[in-house]
Amino acid sequence: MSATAPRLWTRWVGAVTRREPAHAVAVVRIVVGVSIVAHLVRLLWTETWRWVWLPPAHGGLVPLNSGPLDWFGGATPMLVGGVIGATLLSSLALGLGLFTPGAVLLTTAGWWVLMGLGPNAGGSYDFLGANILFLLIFAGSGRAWSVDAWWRRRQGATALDVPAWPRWLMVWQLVVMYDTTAWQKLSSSWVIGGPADALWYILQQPTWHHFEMAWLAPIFPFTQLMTTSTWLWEHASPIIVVAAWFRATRGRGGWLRAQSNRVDPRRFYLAFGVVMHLSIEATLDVALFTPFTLALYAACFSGDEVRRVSNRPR
Amino acid sequence: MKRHLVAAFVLWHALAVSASSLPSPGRGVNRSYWSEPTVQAEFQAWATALGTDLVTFQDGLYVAAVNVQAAVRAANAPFRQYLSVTNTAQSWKMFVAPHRFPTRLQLRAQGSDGSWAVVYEEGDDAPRWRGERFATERMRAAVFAWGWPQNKKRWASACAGFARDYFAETAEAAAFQCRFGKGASLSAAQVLAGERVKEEWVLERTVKRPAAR
Repeated sequence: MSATAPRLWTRWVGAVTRREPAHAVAVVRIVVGVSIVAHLVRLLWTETWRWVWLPPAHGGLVPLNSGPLDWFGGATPMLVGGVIGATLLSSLALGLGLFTPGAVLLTTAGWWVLMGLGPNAGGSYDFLGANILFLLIFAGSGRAWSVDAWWRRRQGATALDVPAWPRWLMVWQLVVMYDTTAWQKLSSSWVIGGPADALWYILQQPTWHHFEMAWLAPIFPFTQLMTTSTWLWEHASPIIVVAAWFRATRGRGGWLRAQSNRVDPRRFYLAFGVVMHLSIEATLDVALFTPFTLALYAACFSGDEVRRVSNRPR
Repeated sequence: MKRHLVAAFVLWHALAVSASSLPSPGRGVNRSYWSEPTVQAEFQAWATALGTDLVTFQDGLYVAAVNVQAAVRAANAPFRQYLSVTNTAQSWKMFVAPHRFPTRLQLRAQGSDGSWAVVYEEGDDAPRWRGERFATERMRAAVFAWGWPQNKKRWASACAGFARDYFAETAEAAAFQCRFGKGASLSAAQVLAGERVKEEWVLERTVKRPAAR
């Protein structure tokens, strides 16, 4: 025991301080940046921001949560508009990889202010966005597929590797999110042995669906199959981190590691996830949850793997 | 030394987000939510599956929920400051149970002749006052929350806001009404049998145009 603990710690230190090309976290950065731009543009274009992020005295609907804007006299249209404008510009810069370290800091701060403002007017995508942005602060994601990297190359500098641990924490974030949501789906409509009609009823909710979903009635058994598949699939999320870990430590022996690396279960797990998330996106409005989650899929592959795929001759 | 600090931070962050995500009843320990028909239907299904009566099931569930809540709070305690400062606190209660008695927003305006006209109705393509705003994800979430009686203060404020904006645009409107249609979602078999959702109007609020000064 006394020898095991230091050995485990040494392994842990070695594992989390590895470095790799920035391509995987660059994909995360681009998807998150572009998604936030699209989100804010929609809220500005439709002027919804006035309803959800201003108090009734300034054209909003409900009293706002207290937050950092109170330090500056409260959520006036000028102040909130300024925060939205700054966040929009910084998220655009984040997507482009322009002044990336500053852009990610500013976007993180803007997201923090905005997501906390309007009571009831948010969702899980707010948490997910905040967590990804926090990890992007440390990820060095501007070192690939960015204006910053292009500029460095023009100056004759070589590409810089980045620490792998922010990416590993993104993978962990994905696993924690899927698994803990599955553990909370304790409705008889979700669990095995029940009527497996959760998906059917969720799709009938007028609040979230894009259009009437009663047309699914003739294929109700398919929705039952998808209900149970989704529940089991979410529970199986630790597969991602185990498979990615086996991939990263392929030099070590073991039958299970060898089989996992041969089959690479990440591909099957994530392929199911892509189909599921795109199906949700096509039928329900779950906002930025889809792009943010799919952005994390890129983090399930190492920077080397992502770079290799992008360099594959076509 | 730096490598060890980084390794310790990674471990700390992973533990913090895990603790923050632990399943917990949240607002579910508030028994005022339990009277909702969706919640009652769920409890009845579980009571039947476990071979007990509804009252015994609810009492047992309440004790369990309070204990789980306390345990989750204790697990979170060491990380609370960190999660707050880094804005990484999280909860993943996503579609934990289908809402079997969903609400549907309807807004109506009264003309100078006293007749009412629907200006917005969720899920209806025809009258669409501010439809582009209601279609955004943030307004969908807010409207969903206001359909629960526990949010009646915010619902009153929101309705007053809708009325304020509508009156500013429409000089002939004498009054504005906000309400939710609430009814049991149909099963697939009921849809195939040609049944239609039977709704009743709830949380109705009417705002009269303020007298001109």
